[in-house]
Amino acid sequence: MLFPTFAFLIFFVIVFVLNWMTRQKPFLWKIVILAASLVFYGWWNWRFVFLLGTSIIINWLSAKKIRDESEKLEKLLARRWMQTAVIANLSLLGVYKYYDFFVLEISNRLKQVGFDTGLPLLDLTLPIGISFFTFQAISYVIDVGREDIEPLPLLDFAVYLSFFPQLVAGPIVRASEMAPQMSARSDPRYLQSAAAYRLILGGLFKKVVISSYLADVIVDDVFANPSNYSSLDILVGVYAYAIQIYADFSGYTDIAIGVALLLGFRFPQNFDCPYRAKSLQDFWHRWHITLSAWLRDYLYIPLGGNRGTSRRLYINLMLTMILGGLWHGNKGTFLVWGLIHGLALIAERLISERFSESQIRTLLSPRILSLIRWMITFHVVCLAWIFFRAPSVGDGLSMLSGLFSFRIGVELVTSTLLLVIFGAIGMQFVTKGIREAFQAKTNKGSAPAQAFLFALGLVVIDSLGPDGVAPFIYFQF
Amino acid sequence: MVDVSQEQPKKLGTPAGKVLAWGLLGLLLASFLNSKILLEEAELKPLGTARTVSIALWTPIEKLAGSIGLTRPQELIDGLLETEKTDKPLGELLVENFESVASKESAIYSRGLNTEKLEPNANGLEQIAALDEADNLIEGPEVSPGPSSSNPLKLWILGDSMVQFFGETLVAYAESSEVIEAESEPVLSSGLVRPDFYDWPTRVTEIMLEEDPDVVVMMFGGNDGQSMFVPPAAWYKTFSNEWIEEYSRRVGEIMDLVSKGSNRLVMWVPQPPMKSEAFDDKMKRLNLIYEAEALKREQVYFVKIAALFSDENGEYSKYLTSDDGQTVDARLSDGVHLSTFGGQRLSRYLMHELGEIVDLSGGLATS
Repeated sequence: MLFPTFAFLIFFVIVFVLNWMTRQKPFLWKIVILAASLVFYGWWNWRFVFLLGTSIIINWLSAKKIRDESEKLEKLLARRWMQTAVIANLSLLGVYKYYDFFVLEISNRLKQVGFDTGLPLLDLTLPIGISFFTFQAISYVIDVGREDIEPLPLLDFAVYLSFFPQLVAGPIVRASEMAPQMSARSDPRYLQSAAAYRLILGGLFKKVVISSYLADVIVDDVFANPSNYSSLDILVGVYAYAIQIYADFSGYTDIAIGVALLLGFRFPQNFDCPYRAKSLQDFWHRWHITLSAWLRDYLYIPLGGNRGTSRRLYINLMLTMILGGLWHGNKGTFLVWGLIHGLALIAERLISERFSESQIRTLLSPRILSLIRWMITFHVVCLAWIFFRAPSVGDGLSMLSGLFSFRIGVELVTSTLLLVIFGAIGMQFVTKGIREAFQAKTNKGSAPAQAFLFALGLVVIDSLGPDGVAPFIYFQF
Repeated sequence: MVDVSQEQPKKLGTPAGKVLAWGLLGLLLASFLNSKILLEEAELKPLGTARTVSIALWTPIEKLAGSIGLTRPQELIDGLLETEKTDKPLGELLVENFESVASKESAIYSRGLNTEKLEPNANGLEQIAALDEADNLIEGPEVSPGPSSSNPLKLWILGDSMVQFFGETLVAYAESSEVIEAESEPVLSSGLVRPDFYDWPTRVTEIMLEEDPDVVVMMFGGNDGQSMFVPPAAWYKTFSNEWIEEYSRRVGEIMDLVSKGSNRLVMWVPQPPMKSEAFDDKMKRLNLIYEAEALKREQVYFVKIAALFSDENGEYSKYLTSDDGQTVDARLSDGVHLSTFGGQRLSRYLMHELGEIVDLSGGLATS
């Protein structure tokens, strides 16, 4: 079930009513939300509800076992259970997302030296959102293992893992963020409806209008056949994709956060104006924040983080970014995307180790330095996006080759397109003060005024958007 | 970006009941303001209960909204955005097309296929199944003097979302010959069953008039396995005799729009084997219709592609062996669309087939 559809609207109105009718009766409320979440998930393919159910039961049992052993002071055994649970989760992800890829790679390599592995290829249909709920499950068992949180009762855990607003494309919410809210029993008298409407409308606008427009007028064409277009078309196409993927993914997140807010839940922020970042490190504090925090807490720090030698730090950084890339899928393009980010992060560290801030400032004025940093960061991110979007590494290289062929001409670039792209980038620089002032102003609106503006916003979005709704890009991950 | 996680919970806000009541009123208002688009969208839904219910819901709302002027803002926005569709009478365009094309001296790339003709048949399926076995009616193509870089062949690739996954690759391969100018125009979710969703006959007519291509590659069917509405009020159940007759007529019509009265070549690409057995069965039945209609027309070449995307048993296979012996995925995870490799394989084959019909060495000779 996609958010911007009539089916979801009907579904949500029913869930909204049931949510607030049962909110003060925790058991009933959990049953209602669990049932709603399973309907939401089963809407795509009801068979995958069993997969989600299996994940819920295995992870809940594992966490319980971890805590039992821990209480018996069997720390080693508790650790073993935690490792087993993590491996089980990764195996589930591995079978669906990576098995065929690795079998193909190994079989093809061995075939070249005359050895046939005979390993079967499974051709499984990828369950939607599996990467997101598996990462949430892993964070849960690790947090229980680390004794950061108490294990949840089965029903609570099932609601946490399957909660429909964030189930299929995040944000990756930790149990420590969700559990207190489940037991808090939100007060139905104080609903932050203005913020919710703002998020939902903003998300819809980003997805239905901006993302669809950019995909339609330039991105799909340029990435499908870069050799047909001039260098300028390709360059603007890459900028457009940077905005498209941001609008698409952050649009989904905004809607998810808004929907959760209407149900009385506050989700963590997932994007914070990523294209205003002036370093790659800064970018990763602003882009897909819940994934980068997850990678930091459950991969980078356990690998050793920035403890130890510089070499070790670089290896940890590179491994984290490569695995972050492969989290998106089993294509070489995601590997290259991770490599580019890893290399850029290492380069940043090397530069900051070699040159102090004051040394650099003696050469350039702060404004110019800031501008150069922003431009480098933005273009490194765009370079990585080329491979993220390209169907294959070879296609990504064709894009680069077209970009630097300096072919003259303009076929797809229009003034409206440039206005959308640079307008979207410009919006990232709107200061927090202005944004907060706007939010405060809209928060004061009466319920009828909010509803009226919401209705008007929907009409404008529907008018500006194309027919039909393309699936969100991050659904495939 | 609103950071709700950082906003302190305040004892400010709206009671849930009020949010629901005003929210529903807001949605009702939006429905009225937007009723024209919502009704249009309902009409474009796949035929079935959901469509019937949607139309029954939005028709009175749209009428009421129109009568009290609530559709005006939408019309105003449409006017500003110039999104209002222009309805061109199809009949007029068809006549214009035939006259225009007949009067033109287009480059000749005739290929002398299908000298045998079939009599029109109510459903054609049995007859074509028999033909499939015999497979001896197609004569070898005649190679004619080919295009050159100064007089390039114009190739258009039209169809549904399947085209999206090989069209641009075919364009690239075609243009690398230096004697072909190619253009790909896929329309997602489109087909020949739902002209109310996307009117291919009109669009094809426009392309023939404005672009006058020499060769048109066409691929339809992915969205056509559904019931069909035939004006003024008939509903034909999928694959009923009436449905097959009408669908065959539409397939024939689109083939004629390209080829009749001209020397254009249609390369009709059937659907490849599909992962889902039920869907595959539908596509196989549609392929029989395409082949039947192609066989009735000299200038329509039905390009058999099933073997390109099948395993050794002739069944669907996501993974295929490439020329260098590697196992490669030829299909996307949906079991329908082609992967990059699949698109390349199909495009290479189409170029090969085109090269059998048209002498494409002109580019090499002139370069």
